[in-house]
Amino acid sequence: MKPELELTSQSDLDIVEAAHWLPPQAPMEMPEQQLERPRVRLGGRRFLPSLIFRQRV
Amino acid sequence: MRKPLAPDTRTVVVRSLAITLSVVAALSATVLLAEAAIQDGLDAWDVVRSALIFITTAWLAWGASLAFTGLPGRALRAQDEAPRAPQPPTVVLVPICNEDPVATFARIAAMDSSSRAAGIRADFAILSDTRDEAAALKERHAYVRLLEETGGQGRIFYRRRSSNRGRKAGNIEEFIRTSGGAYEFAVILDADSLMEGATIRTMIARMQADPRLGLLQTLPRVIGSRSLFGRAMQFAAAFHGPVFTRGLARMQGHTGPFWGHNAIVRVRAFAESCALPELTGRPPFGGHILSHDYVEAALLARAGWSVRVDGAIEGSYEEGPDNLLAYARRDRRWCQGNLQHMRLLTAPGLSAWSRFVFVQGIFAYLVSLLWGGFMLASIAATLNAPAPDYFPEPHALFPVFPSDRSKEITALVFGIAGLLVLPKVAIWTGAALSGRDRGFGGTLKAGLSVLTEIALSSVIAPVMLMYQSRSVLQVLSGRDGGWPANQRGEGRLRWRDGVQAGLWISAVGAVTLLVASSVAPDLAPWLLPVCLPMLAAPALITLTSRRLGRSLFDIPEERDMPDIVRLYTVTHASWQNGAQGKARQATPETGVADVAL
Repeated sequence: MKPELELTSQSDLDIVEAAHWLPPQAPMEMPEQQLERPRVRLGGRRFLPSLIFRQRV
Repeated sequence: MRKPLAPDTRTVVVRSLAITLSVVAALSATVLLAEAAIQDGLDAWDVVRSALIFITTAWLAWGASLAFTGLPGRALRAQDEAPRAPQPPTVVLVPICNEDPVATFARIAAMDSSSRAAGIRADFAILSDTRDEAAALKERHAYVRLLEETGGQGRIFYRRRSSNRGRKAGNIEEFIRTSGGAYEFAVILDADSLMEGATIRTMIARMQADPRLGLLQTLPRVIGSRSLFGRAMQFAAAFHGPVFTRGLARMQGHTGPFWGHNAIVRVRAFAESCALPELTGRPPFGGHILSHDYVEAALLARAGWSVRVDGAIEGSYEEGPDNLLAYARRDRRWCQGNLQHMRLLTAPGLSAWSRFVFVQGIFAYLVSLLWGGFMLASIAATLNAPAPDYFPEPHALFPVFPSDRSKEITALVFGIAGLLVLPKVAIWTGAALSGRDRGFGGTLKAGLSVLTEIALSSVIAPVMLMYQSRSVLQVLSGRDGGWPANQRGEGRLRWRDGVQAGLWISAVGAVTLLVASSVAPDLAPWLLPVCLPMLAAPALITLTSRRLGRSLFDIPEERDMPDIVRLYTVTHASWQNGAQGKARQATPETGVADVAL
């Protein structure tokens, strides 16, 4: 099969991403996963695990 | 959400045996050390070093138990398998970021050809995260060349993201969100990966045969190393790797590993369980998840999918770092990624084993700090030890000499060395008995390679310990190492590079030895195996990067070059030669400039 684009000196200067370069459009849902537990506040202080791995914000 | 699959009886037995072996070995080491330390009374430093020797020995014994678990069994070669017709739609994903496009795309050309020869219909998607416009232009040129050479239009795709959010994991995630519905399986590769078409065929067949299987990881063999360091690593990966991996497979069961590449995933499983959130806070502990592969494996298992590794599947390759500095640079990134997993230990719904895998990954780096702590605690304990009392009874006629405990210390040193050496010797014995050593130059040459690799890794270990300790301290103090691009193909280092990178290690070694010699002369000889390699760090870094011929460290892939490697080598050479005549290319800024494709 012969590709549409050829490496000629002119096309070298003009290469841009073409629509047919892209993979097929077939969307799939990807729900974001929960990895951190919601922070629990006890007596006004952050509780574990955020107490242990406290972040500098 | 489904529940994680329960481990089968065999997995539970293997895990229990490995944990028992580790605890027994650690207790034995602790008792030996405590017996030696207690003779002049027990102080706080003795307690500290006893605790440290327990943890570090348990870690070494855990590694040894992996090897012993993987030893029994016959072939370390999986049979080729063919998928049932119709073959499910499959895509091979090649995420890239500032890579050499000629080498990377030549690999894709070789894999495309190999897949078609194996009767596999697979699309290829090059997923570029390259930010530099000039480098991206080179990629586009190489892509056009790739289409031209393979006739791959409509089968080989290229897309470049406008933002590299989430780095590699985000790159794959974006593909699945956009195009995942078109495919049932996705083979995930790295830019330096190579895979035989027959291997892809076998992996598709395995996924088809087990509908619960969410991910199947292969053990990529390291190829193309030329230096002493690289060839030793390459040999160890080829010779010991399959046995350790079989041990890992038996130990982890359904909760197997994902190493980020050279694996196949069920797209639906990956989509429904592996979209990673950004962690709250700033890097190194917050932000994007760096070591995403471990997390993705844990999430697949959490969603009830089986994650397996099979080191016996052949025809899967990657390249490795060719010198100690490249290795340490990669290790810095892995260190930050693994320590970041501290945030995920309490993630909801994970199986207990997945949490334990995170702990192991964290420990792989913390252990360097613990070994350093053990050495310092030993010096401090010796410093604080009371002077020997030769006349504990008043008016005694004869002195009482303190009992000599060097026997216990010697037993401890040999025991720890045994945990490092015995598994490798056992693997060599197994290879000699099964004939597997033929691919490594025969029993004698393989044995010599094993011994040399043990000696080399022992000498390098203190240097790596220093680099890892520095990495851990940097991460714990909040320094983000970012995600520097891989510098593939860098090999031989100059003396200046070695001195620049290793002088601080020499200084630490010299100070440790001087302090130990002046305050605890009895302890100094025991520190020599650690301090001498540290003193020689610049030389070790430089000299191990020198080219090594095939006098040692033979691997089967060198004796009989795999088809895919030959195909890639030929394609790469012809593309490089073709590119030499094309020196002038366009760049977006200037229109025309010198570009080496």
